[in-house]
Amino acid sequence: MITKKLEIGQEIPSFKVKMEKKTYKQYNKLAKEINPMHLSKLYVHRLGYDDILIAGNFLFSFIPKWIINWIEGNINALSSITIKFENPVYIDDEIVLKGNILEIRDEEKKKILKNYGAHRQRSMR
Amino acid sequence: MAENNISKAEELNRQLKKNVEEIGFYEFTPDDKEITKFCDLIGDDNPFYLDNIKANKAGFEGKVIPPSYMTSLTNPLVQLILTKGGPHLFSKLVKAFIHVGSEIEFFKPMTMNKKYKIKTELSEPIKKSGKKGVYYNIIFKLSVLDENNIIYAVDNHDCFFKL
Repeated sequence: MITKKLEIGQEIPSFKVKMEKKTYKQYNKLAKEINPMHLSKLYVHRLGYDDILIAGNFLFSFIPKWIINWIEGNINALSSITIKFENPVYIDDEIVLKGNILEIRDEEKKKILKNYGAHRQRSMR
Repeated sequence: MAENNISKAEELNRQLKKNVEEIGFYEFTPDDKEITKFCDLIGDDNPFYLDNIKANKAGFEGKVIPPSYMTSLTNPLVQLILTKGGPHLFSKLVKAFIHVGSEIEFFKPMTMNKKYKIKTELSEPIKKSGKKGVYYNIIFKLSVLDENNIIYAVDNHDCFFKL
């Protein structure tokens, strides 16, 4: 149950997070990451990237957290998320999650909200 | 060169399907310490993920696994599919592998102290071109179920392979 007033176009408060090297290293260890795209500078340089890429799984982590926090911690209310990683994110980049309510519809006594994705912005390198 | 890449794509498809078949259902029990560490790393202090009593009071069977953890949960299986039988897939076929997106449906909150399993289905490789050249796109459909085959979530894990 979401108690807050909701309107189409309403902005979801943005959320910023910096990709700290230490935190990301700990995440890779936790996730048992083996993909050299997320571990080896030499490997990614050969493929034309500036630095090791932050794993999509780590970037994804912040999206449900951001939405669930906004809907007052209501885990049951989250039904689906579609995410596309369109640009690489590197260590020390700051990502900004922004969104607006696109659609509100009633379905089986539930209010379904559609939020236009989380924009990611890179800080200047 | 193009023909060579098509045969490589066919070989990748064949090898991945063989690995998926050999692995079958991927069984796991969520690790409490790992989830707590994950919440700490992403700065999530939702009590339903960290406190059994509060989770029980809210009607959950136990501490809830954060939806944020979903792709981290399915990733070890994707890695296992890629590396089963040794590193030859990477040394001979795949120059790079990247997770380019996920479409996730949540059907029921997952809780700790339960056994789960993941069923994998693979799409056929589709050739795509982008800023970094030609890639082959494969979607790993990963369905998370419990021992009674109740479905909790589906992660359509969208991956690009450079061959």
